[in-house]
Amino acid sequence: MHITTEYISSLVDKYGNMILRVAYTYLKNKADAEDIVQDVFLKIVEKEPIFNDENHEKSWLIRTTINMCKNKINLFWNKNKCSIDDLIEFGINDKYNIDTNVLQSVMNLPEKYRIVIYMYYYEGYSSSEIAKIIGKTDTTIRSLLHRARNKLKDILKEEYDFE
Amino acid sequence: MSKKYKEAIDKIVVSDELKSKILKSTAEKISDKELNKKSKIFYLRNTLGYVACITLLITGVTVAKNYMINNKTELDDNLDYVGSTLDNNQNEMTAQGGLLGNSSILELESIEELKNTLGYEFKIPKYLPDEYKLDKISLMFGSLIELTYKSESDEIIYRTERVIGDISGDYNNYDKIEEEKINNSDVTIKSSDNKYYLGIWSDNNSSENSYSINSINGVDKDTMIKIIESIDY
Repeated sequence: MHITTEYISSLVDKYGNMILRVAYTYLKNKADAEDIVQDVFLKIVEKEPIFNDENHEKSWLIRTTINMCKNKINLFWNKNKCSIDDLIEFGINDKYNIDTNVLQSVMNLPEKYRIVIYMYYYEGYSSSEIAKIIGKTDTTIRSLLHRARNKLKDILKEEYDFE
Repeated sequence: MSKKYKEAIDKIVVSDELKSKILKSTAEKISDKELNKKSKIFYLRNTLGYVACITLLITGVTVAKNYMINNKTELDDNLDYVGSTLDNNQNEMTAQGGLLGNSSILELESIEELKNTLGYEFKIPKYLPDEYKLDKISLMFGSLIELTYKSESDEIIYRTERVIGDISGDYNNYDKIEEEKINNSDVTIKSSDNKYYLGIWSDNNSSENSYSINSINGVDKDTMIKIIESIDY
């Protein structure tokens, strides 16, 4: 497949927001999430992947985004062993200005819960589909969803609307 | 489904600035890839060119080598034709003092010099018609003695060598072939139109010498026999 800027532009329009949201859910940092979006599209130019259909295309992009986020975290921790205070000082607290208690509560959950909440409640994937995309078992995903919901119930109380 | 969560996530969008950055960086990457592809093709083309040149060179050298080997074989075959007796003669010459050197035909000034060179006595014609004079004394391939006598109209060549066989070198077809007993030897005389061109014979003793008299333009039979009779010690 020959990659053109027109094709990339159409992909950015179609999947740019999704990639940014997955990355932000994972990294909790706006600047890092935006870097990941750029890196994912550069990866498409580099690898020139051939997609069987739209589902394949979408799941490839999510999986690639997650892998790149993991790589970024590993790289960061290997290079910068510092305190939480240092991280805040260096802008780790760079967030989208979305002042909602629900989003804050989800983002405060551990990473393993955040990504399944996003994929299940926002992207509408089933637990088995999430399992396939992120390489875990269906049971694990169900378990993660169950625990995440319980935690959010405790935190959000009356505000809780994850059904 | 969580309505509040969805509304919050919906606010996370790719800005125009971010989209521009993405398109710029990917366009540069696409351009680099195109350049790399072109340079790969360039290097591939160059490499193929070098390979083709080397292949051509190797083929050329191989063909030239084979050509030279074939030519050498042909030359060797030709030399075999000339030199089938040469090797034997040279061996003899070597045994006799290595006189031949690099030349296959040695011209000498006198019969005496030839005898000294060979190291042994040999028979020469004591008679030739008056008009024939000794013109050239040669030792060929180290063992074949050749004396050339010339007149104004003819040339008689006398040959002798310590081998058994026809040493005349005259392989023309003549109309008549006769056998004559001369000096106790069986002489073959060849003629056409009553002109005698060739006489060949060998000693009937253990010396195993052969002789030939060859007239280029032919002589009468009596002259031929008389010359042959005169060839004695």
